[in-house]
Amino acid sequence: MTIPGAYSLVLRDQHLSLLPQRAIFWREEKTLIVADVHLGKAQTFQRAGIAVPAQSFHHDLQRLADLIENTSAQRLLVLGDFVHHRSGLTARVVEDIQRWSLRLSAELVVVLGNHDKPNKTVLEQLPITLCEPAWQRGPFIFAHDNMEAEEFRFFGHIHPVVNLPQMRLPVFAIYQDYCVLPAFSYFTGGAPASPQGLLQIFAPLEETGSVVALPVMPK
Amino acid sequence: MSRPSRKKVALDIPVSLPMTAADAWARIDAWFAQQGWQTTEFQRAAWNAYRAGDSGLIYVPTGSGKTYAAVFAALAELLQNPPHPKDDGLHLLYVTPLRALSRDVEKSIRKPCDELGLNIRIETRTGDTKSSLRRKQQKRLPHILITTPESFALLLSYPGADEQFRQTRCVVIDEWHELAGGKRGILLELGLARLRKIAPSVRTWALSATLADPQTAAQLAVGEGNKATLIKAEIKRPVLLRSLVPEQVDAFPWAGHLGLSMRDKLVADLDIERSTLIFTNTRYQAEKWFQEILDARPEWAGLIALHHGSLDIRVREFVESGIKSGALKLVVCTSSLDLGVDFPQVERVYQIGSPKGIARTMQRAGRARHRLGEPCEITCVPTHALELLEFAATRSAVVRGEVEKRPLLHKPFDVLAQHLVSCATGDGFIAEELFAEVTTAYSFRDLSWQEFLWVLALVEHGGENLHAYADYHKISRDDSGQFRIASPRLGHVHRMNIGTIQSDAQLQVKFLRGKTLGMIEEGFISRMKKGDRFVYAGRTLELFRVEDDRVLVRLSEKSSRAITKWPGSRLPISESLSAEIRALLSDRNLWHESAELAAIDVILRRQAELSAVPAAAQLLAEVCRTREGHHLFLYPFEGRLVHEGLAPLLAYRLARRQKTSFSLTVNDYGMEFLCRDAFPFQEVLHAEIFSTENLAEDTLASLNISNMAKRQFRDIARITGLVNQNYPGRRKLARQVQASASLLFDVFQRYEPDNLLLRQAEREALDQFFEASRLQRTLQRLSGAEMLLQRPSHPTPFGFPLLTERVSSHLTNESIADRVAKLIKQWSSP
Repeated sequence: MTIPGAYSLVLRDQHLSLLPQRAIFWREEKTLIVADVHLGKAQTFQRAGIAVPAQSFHHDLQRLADLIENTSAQRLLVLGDFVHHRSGLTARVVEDIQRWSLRLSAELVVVLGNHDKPNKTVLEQLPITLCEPAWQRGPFIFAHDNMEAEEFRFFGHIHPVVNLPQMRLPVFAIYQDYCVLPAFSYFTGGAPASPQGLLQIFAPLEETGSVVALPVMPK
Repeated sequence: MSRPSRKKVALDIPVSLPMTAADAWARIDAWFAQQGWQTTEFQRAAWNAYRAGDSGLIYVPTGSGKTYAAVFAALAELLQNPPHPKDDGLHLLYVTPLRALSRDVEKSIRKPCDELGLNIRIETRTGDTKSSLRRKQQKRLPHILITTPESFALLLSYPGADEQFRQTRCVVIDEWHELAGGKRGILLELGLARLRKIAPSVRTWALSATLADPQTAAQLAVGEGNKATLIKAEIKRPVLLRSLVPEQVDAFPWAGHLGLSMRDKLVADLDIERSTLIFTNTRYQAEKWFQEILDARPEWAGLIALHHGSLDIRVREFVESGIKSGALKLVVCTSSLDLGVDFPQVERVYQIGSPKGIARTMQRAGRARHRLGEPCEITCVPTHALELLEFAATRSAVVRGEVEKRPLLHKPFDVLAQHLVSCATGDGFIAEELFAEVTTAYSFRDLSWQEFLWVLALVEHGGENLHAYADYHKISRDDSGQFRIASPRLGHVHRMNIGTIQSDAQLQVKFLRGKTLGMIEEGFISRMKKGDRFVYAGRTLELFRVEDDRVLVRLSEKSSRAITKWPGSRLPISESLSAEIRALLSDRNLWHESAELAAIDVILRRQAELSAVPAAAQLLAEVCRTREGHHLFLYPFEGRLVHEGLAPLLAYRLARRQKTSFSLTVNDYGMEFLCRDAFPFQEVLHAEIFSTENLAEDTLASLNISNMAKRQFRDIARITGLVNQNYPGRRKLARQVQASASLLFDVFQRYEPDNLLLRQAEREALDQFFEASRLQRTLQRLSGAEMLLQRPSHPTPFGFPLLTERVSSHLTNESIADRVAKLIKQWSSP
């Protein structure tokens, strides 16, 4: 592991690193895990006549490629909402994703999220392994949203954040038998992490290259 | 002798016959005589000016007949050349800032038209107009249209608008002071610039009662380069201001906003036999006071009512007609009843809490005995003790007849961007032609071609980095060089979001079965969960469920007082008022001259004992230490808004000396800097920290880290259409393209820091806090003031309201990681 500032955890005897880039690296499986990438979101806005710059799209692809290179991950696992909406999946966007994915040295696995399902035909054309409703390995199961399972669950979908005075931080929210990942894309909003049964929260701070454990406030 | 042939004509549409100007005016004179009225000098002057082809401003007190001064010359024209009732085209456009006013205006214009035998169509168009009538108006405008600035902008955005407005002869803008220089007024200026192009002979007459600078206001209305005629009348209406003074005042006033302790005193002062309006500053206050008065006097049920902007239109209409008919004796209201609607029955006016401005006080006082020549009286009820000081200061300013000057916005790009899209949605435009037209609007008089191209590029390409906007198309140029909207759907969405009034998305409040109560902000409801209670429309309601755009509620059976509060806008005290307050404090001889100051003598004496009461040329600074940390209190008495700009700026300059985080709290009188660790306040409190040198840089630097530009961006994102409140049918796609303005702000800042809209947000924040020069004037005053540094053992009466103020913004120059670490330390230490 060569990502500095990561926060290492041992969970069900597996070694996990929470990364400042809003991702998890699972050492035993050499798997990089992210959620809610929402590729093409800016283009969806543009197609609706709303002038949002599209650099976030290329930036997110670049961030993912850099992470794979720095961790030497063999697999990139996306916990749903890899893409945003069909109106943003223009020919150019699909082509860029295609070119990007062909250059990746890692296998790309996407668990289908609610935003992905209507775009299955587009995703099927790409070199991606698609799973539905979840991807299971060892003591863990990976899904888009919470689900019933024996295993410890990882999922995304709700974009958990913690609100501090004048600051809103996306977080990893860890509960008794599941972990909610922050949204990977910067062009996403969020909802406060549910305080019910919350054990630990970690804020990934990409700019300062660190992951900070935040105390859980008893409600 | 043969009888004249009686040819059958369609008599259901009687056509009036043309007449000479002399006949028309004779008929008008006869009509006035019939009403038992005399035409006044200023009315005749206004009519003559109109006939001479002039435009301008009619600047006379409320209730002196300015509506008729504005419209009768245009009615005379219609008498001379009556349009066929089925003829297309608008003759007279009457713009009012408040929809509530439009009904009254329509009635008061309809009456003379009917009685003069003018058979023409007179209609109203506002957001409340039924869709069937709207569709009809889209095809064929009436001869006289009463509308709001937003609905006028909307009408201009339809193809064919040029044809519909071609015959317009007269535009009247009512209550122009409400609009002039703000974004609503500027949107109207752009619309009028368009109208003058379509109908070059149109004359514009603005109406106002309270203005500090009539000449500029007139120029704003008539456009750059046009002659502006001022019509004034020397009619005086004295304003009497009295206060209800509490029996006892604590030395430490608590800045609660309700002052319910004054309830019994107010109720005892009320006279249910006399028609009364009680003004409050927020809807929450109105709801609360309505309930309190009813609790104290249950026998008044049926005679008392509530009126505010988010109640259902039918409820508001019912209350307004109740006041007029005399069925309702007491109405608790907000600014919703500030303006124009005539209530001659109203005898008494109360104001709960400080009205925060001189013009507003006069406006509200004027609602009583809306008759010429009679004095108007307003009774002020303090909600915390220091407001008594504001009442005394307001009175001395009112006596001198001083009114605040309103700051004017200058060429806001977001409003221009919206206008460009509207023009493209309507009949399309050629860039050079539209530029020439736009610069005839006074607020855009010095817009450069370069700036125009920037804004055009913004709506055409998105931004300067074309690559980043490859899929963006809002307007595009066709082969003939005309700019047009890119698709009908975009035009539809644009029309639904025309306007500059910043508001949260509105949801309908509805009982589980049945009746609709009105509208409520989404932001307010989103903070609540099922079973939470809130007071609305005079009832305590319980939230049951939110369904699409409806909030389903039921009456709450629990009489608990635990209710969700409505966030109210809090107005800052005006510049004139704050100068008046400083003067009052300064002169100890004045302290016993008014009942208000005598009542707060205990506060002033305690303040003087513990610290000091500053003279007008002094700035009081207090440094003290409590368990919370190290405090610095400063009291410039410049109003909340200026303090909101000043506090981060000073914090930024203080923090340059020593890196730290301050908690900032401001109110109308002063500001508090709280620091957990020791900070050498005394050493750094020199006149230099008030220097105007590097003001722009320092303000920008402190704004960047303190979110002010971000706050401003909310408005801008909405006006330029980055955030749309309304979507046709709330379709699925709508949810995919909703992002909060603050998220968009972050995206722009990260990926396109040079975006023009970000720069506008900065500039507006500067305009508001600095270029509007009140901040600059404040700094100049403070750098020349004598610093009166006190070290009280604990917070003083002036500082106490700041301590209790819980809304604070946080400024820091530490990194996020440092701040997170600090917060953690704070939480983990018991």
